[in-house]
Amino acid sequence: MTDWKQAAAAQSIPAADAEKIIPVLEALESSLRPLVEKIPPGADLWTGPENFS
Amino acid sequence: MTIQESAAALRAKKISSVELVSESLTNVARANPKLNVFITVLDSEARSRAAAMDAELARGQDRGPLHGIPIAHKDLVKTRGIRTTAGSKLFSNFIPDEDAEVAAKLNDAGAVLVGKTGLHELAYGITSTNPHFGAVHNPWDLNRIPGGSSGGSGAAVAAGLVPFATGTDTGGSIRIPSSFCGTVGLKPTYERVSRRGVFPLGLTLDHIGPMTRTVRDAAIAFNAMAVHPGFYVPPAHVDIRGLRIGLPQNYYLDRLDAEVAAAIRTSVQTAAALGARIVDIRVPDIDAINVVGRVLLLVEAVSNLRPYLDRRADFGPDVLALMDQGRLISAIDYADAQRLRRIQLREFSKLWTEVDCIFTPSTPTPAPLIGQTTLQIGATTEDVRLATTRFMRAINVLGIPSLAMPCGFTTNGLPVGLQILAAPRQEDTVLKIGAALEDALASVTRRSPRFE
Repeated sequence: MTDWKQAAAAQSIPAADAEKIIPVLEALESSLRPLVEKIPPGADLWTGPENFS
Repeated sequence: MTIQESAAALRAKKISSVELVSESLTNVARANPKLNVFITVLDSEARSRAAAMDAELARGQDRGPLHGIPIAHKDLVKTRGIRTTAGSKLFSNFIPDEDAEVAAKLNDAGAVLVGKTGLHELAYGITSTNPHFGAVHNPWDLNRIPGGSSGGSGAAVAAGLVPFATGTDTGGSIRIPSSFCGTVGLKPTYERVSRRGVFPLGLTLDHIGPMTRTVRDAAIAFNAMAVHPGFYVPPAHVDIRGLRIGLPQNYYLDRLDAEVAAAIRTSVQTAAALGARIVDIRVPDIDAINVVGRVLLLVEAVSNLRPYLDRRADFGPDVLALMDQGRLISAIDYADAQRLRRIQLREFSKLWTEVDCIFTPSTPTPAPLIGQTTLQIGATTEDVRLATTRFMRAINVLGIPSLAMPCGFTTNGLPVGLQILAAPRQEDTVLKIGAALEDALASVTRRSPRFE
């Protein structure tokens, strides 16, 4: 999982502000990661609501 | 009056545009101190324009149903020579030198702009409690939020100040205020209304659409706004016999306020009584689509705001926190989210072989109080923003059309919203079923708050 504290410091986000968002980012990452693992090889990007073949 | 009623009265010479606009401005002056709906009011400009529109009609020059009708723009829509703030301190004195494409189209249609409505800062939130311009209040209960981000537009229409205001919707920002204010909001298919000249939030998620008092008015306004007009405006009597309405048996009926659930059931029963076929369906993992939507929005929004990242003091705390989150999400995660989006769209689209449209609640609860940060739904406590966007955000990810409309009231008098979804470019379907329901539910959808 991402070291959000280090990532925030690298972006010069004040530590106090980073503390507030890290739990949200951790939760988001834990929801996203299992979905990403299921992406089949060669899956294409979204290009509009009618293009999904 | 609605657009349709005003347009008929104008052509019957029972009223003039000057009178319509004057009444609108009077109502704005009376209501705005309580509602804080308008950031900018265009008194003299609107009166002059109305006189010009009257003169055109007198000469036989008729631009169509919006000719001479007072309207408002969300203050995210750039207007030539008129301050456009985006609800932000960054743009508090910004005066565009050209109109957004949608503003130009509505000008060409003869609409009369009476003002620019308040919104959540940078359209990045759902409360419209703006740290720079103050909180917009809900006309049904001044202690409650109107929703957002197009809260000023929703409240202005609900309070009868204008029959039509523009809105934008990146994760529910047309449909949430429509739900909380008891108005009609259409989020069209992605890119059916031009985004050019509207402050961007999420470039692949932003939608522009109308907010009105009636479904037929939404259809009229949408026709004037769309890149390619020629859409269906529901006639006086609408036949929905045989239309297949999908009723999700999962997700959309979970964690739902009991009175909202009851109003949705009434809508379904009403549609069935009108001859529609109710089909039980199961929707794909909406939470997963919402996760993808959050990743996309966080990154796209901060990309738009990149030139201002060092002006931290100029942002409200909630928007600043979202910007900081966006800065930390990797490019790989963003690209993967766009790949997941295509897969999710493919999955969801399979439903269109079973049904013509889908009913869901617009929001799980009626309007929260101003300053409220959590919602109690049954035994669950949820963050207000996440709960309020729960039924909305995925629809922006999919890019499909959605109509939000009032379908009832709670016992304490707050509106309840129904959301109707359809396949891409099937706006006609949601407008048709919406108009039929509106007629059938008229007794619970037409009350109007007054500000004497």
